[in-house]
Amino acid sequence: MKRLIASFQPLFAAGILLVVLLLPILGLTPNVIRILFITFVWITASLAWNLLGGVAGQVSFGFAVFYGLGAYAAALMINAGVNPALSFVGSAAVAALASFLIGIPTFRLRGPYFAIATIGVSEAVRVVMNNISAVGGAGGLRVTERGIFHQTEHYYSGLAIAVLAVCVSLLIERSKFGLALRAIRQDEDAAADIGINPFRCKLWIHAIAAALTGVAGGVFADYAAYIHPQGVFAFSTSVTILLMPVIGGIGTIWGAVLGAAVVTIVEEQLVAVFPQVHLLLYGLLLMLIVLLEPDGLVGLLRRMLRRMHVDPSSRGPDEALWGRGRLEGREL
Amino acid sequence: MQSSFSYRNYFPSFLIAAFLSISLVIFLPSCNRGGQNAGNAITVGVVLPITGREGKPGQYQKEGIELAIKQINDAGGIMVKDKNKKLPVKEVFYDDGSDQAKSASLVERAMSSDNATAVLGGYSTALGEAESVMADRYQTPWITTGAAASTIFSHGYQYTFGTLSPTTLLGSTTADFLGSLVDQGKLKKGLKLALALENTDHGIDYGNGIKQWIQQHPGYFTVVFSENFELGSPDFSGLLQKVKAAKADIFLADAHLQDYITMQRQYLQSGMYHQMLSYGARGPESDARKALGDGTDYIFAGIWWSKKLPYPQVKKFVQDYTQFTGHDPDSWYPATAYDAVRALAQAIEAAGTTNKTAIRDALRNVELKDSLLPGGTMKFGSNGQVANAFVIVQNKPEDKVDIVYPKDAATGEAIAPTPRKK
Repeated sequence: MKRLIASFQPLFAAGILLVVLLLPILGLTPNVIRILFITFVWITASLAWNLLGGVAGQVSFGFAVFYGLGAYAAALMINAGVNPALSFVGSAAVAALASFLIGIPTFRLRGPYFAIATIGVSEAVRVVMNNISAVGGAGGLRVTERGIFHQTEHYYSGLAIAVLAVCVSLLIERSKFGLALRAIRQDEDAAADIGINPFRCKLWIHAIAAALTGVAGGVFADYAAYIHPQGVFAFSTSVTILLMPVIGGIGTIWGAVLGAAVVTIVEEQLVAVFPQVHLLLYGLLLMLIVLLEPDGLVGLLRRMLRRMHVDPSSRGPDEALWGRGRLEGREL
Repeated sequence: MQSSFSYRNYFPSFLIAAFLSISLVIFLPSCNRGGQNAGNAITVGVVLPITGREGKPGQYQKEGIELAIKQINDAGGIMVKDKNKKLPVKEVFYDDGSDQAKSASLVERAMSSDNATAVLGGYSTALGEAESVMADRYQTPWITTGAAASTIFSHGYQYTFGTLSPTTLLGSTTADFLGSLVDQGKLKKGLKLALALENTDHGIDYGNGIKQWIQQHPGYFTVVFSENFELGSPDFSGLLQKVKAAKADIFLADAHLQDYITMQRQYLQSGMYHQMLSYGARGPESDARKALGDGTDYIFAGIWWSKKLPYPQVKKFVQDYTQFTGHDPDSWYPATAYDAVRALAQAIEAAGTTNKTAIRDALRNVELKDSLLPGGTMKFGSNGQVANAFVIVQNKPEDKVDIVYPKDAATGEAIAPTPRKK
């Protein structure tokens, strides 16, 4: 069974990619394309957070900073006439630069102290952006739309960055750098004793995660055509980015992907079908998952695989697919 | 290998799986809530906050819209010439939870998936700004019932309309009212103003309106303090300390309902006194009066509509609304929404088709002659925004509210300066 799953993995991933590539051609409604676009944006941000929070074990509540800076950087560049694709590169650069400025002081803190510091930084950046009139201040910033709006172009931009985020996550997970990050997550002092520089590793993974989140923000800004500090820099944005890998299965690539997809689609549908009680139902779902399935949706699937007689004890192809899940005994 | 079946092991997974399955099963059918009625009804999207910080005003606006739709449907619907029959209006409602990104997304959903003939909503300015992008993109008329900032209407959008007059006009009307009190001898000339403005386009426009009036009428007032505050702030004590230090005679703030209640509570606690006090377009709301009691007496507000307006259509609306919802209209919120639906219905009838561009063109020429708004007539300007006058109302003791300006609509005398509390 283990081998069967392993052999189907690349096929499975290629199949999903092929389907999502062909979806717009199959004549989906603009609404479904919109939901899928938003899903791709959140998958990118979720995978980015997972690199820092899940793989390296550094729980940040401040990813809205990178999302917002990426959005603003792209918006300003597009308004200045830069090609949107190039502006997304600019978004990544601005967010990565900000990650160093934030990371250098905050990575001197550990655990909850680091988490609290990221909340403070995030709120400070939001208030500052609210008051910089050159970028629209609290009134927000409108992104110039040149020509007719083509939803499928945005769809493929979203898909491209989601694929990029998956590739980056896979590369890191299978690299020595990824191993070092996992060691830091397990025990930072022990990792330092065996020659890993935790501070440097954390700074770099923070920058990579920030760059991916910045691109997600940039792609969103290009689609929304209007951004606002209370929206892109909101604390709720940080919480949403954090919540998706937690729901899907923290520390796993497919957990972050699944979490983002489920959160986006379920939330969208609850708002549409139960406008009066959508928040209640959404909260109920989150409580159910967090309380009853702490390993997230991937944990749920892993349990199902176990029932299908797949040996979960050894690190094998099934684990590569679904990941190890929980932070191996360490509480966040 | 585990072989024994345990309910304890399966139950949590079952619950989550059931929840997710139900959500996904409803995914496809619910993707299109308006399209299945294409041809037999006119689908109107309504995107408003009924939860979150703007939930109360959003709920009142929703009620105004639903009353208008009910009345139209009770009368048989809207006559559409090219179908040679009356079509009922079908409302597709979404709650944006006072979230800006969600509101734009839901408007897009209504325009694209539900194939709405038009979309109404956009309370307040921040949400309206985000929503306004979608109208031209999907070439669907969008009428904001609760956003007034001039920036929304300054981008040359062709499908954007609004039933609220510009906020700059609110600022200038407020200053005009204060100027009239000076002319009447109730206030002295040369009084000092302190301005506290919410850090939004709404606040900026309000401040600009006041400052422009002062420039055009030298000698009446001078602004000695002007500062912005963050929307939804839990604490205004620092700002109020600065207002106190400015030693102004009149305090004018521009705030949303929740901020008005919080700020006024802290204002009262600080023991401050000003000859006149206003929170822009907020003042007579029953929530504030319940929360602060006589602490809101003599506050004046510039609003887009008042139930005290002396028009027969206003009296009928108040009666119908009270019967429909079980409560009186609270401040101006339901009226602008109600008129938006009626203007849309008139435009559809004039266009004689459900073609969105034809309806857009008809909306540009609509003249609602029995409008609830001040002046009694509503017409969209060239930028899509109406320009009806504001009325100034003042809270009086025992939960009374009077229109005090303009004179021809007044139901009571303006009390100025505000009596000091004993």
